[in-house]
Amino acid sequence: MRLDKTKYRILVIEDNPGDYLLIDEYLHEYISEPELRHVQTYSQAETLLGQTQDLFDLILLDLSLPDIGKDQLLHVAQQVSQTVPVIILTGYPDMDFASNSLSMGVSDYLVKDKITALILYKSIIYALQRDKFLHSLRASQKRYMELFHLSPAPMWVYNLETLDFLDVNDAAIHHYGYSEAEFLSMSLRNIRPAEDMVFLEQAMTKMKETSNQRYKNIYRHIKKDGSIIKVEIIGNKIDFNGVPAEIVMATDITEKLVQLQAIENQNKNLKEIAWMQSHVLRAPVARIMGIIQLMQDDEMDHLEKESLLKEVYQSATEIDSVIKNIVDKSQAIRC
Amino acid sequence: MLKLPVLVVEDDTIFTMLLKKLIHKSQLAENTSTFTDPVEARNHVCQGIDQQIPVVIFLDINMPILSGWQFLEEIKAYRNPSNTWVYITSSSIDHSDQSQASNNPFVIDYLEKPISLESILTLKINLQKKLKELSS
Repeated sequence: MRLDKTKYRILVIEDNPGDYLLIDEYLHEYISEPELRHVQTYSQAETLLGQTQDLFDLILLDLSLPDIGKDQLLHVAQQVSQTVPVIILTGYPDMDFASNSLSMGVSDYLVKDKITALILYKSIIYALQRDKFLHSLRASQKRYMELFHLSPAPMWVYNLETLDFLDVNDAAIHHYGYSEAEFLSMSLRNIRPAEDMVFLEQAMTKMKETSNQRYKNIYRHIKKDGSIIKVEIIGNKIDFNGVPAEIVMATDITEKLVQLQAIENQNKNLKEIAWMQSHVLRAPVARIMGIIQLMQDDEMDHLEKESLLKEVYQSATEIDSVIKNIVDKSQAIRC
Repeated sequence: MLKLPVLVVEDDTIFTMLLKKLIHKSQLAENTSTFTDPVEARNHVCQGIDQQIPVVIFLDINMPILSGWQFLEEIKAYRNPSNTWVYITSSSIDHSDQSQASNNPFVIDYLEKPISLESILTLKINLQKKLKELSS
């Protein structure tokens, strides 16, 4: 049989020397070079584990130790098992206690009389694999929570039925001014101006009718300081720990809208200027051109020409005042 | 010379003077009436001219009280586009005005002010053709 060459670092907490010998033997049947560390009391183990976190790959724990009770030990084991997988060894089969400890995160529960080398080896391998898997799961969970909590855009999750806030991120707390506790005690209704409530109801009805997952709209929200902002809402339906909910990202576009309005005003001014050029300014220019056409006529007498010159002057004056108007409008744009 | 009434509807005296001179020079028509008041012109078109007689109208767009467009709207019930030939005259060089003109069934062409003798001579040939088509 080929032995497992991995150098598992295993802490064995076992007060009975005979039991320890047995464990040692079993382990060497399948693992060529296990790095075993043996302590006999809880306090020794505590000192050892208190030094550094990453000292062992796995802990084999005898439940009946001289210096600590079973229940208290289980409690400690549960905490330790967050970072290192723990396998409990016991002399007494106790199904309730066993299932209880497993549900609390302990990797396995083995009765000493029933242990064989294979059972112990399998249990260790399973525990390590499961720990690896749980580790990556926790990491990805953390990553996703960070995506939510550290997102620079305000985000929250709310209950689709009650509209209560279920979770908010830091950006939302910072931008809106409500504390997390305040947010979690409020519903969407509390951040809407009273006169906009009808839009909220409409949106919720629409939301229930549609099977669409994604949702986008622009609403007005109230910050804690009472100021009203315009936000673009993008939402997605999610299942939040079993509750039908929506995750929402809110982008404050108040500033953007103000800028847009300014651009629109400028556009209007520019259009007016263009209109003035082609209509108001063009009219006296066309008239002067017409007058010149008339004056080129030889049949015209002196008096007629004189009166036409007056018309030219008048048109020129008109052009002058139109140009002044246009300049005024252009200056309004520049500001 | 064309044998049909020609109306000049224009509130600016200079343009009226110029257009009258051009009509005279080009020998466009014998019978030219000028209106500085578009309301008067409308009444004349609707009540003063037989519906069967073809008519040419030089129509300014920018007039107070009744704009050129309104004028065309109001003669709709009295005149048929087949023998009512309107030339829009305007100092505007705005393309939207020109496209609005081309969408109106009465409007034959859009003349940019100041109107040249050449454009009057061209439209005269065009009108002669239209008259011939109408009588045949």
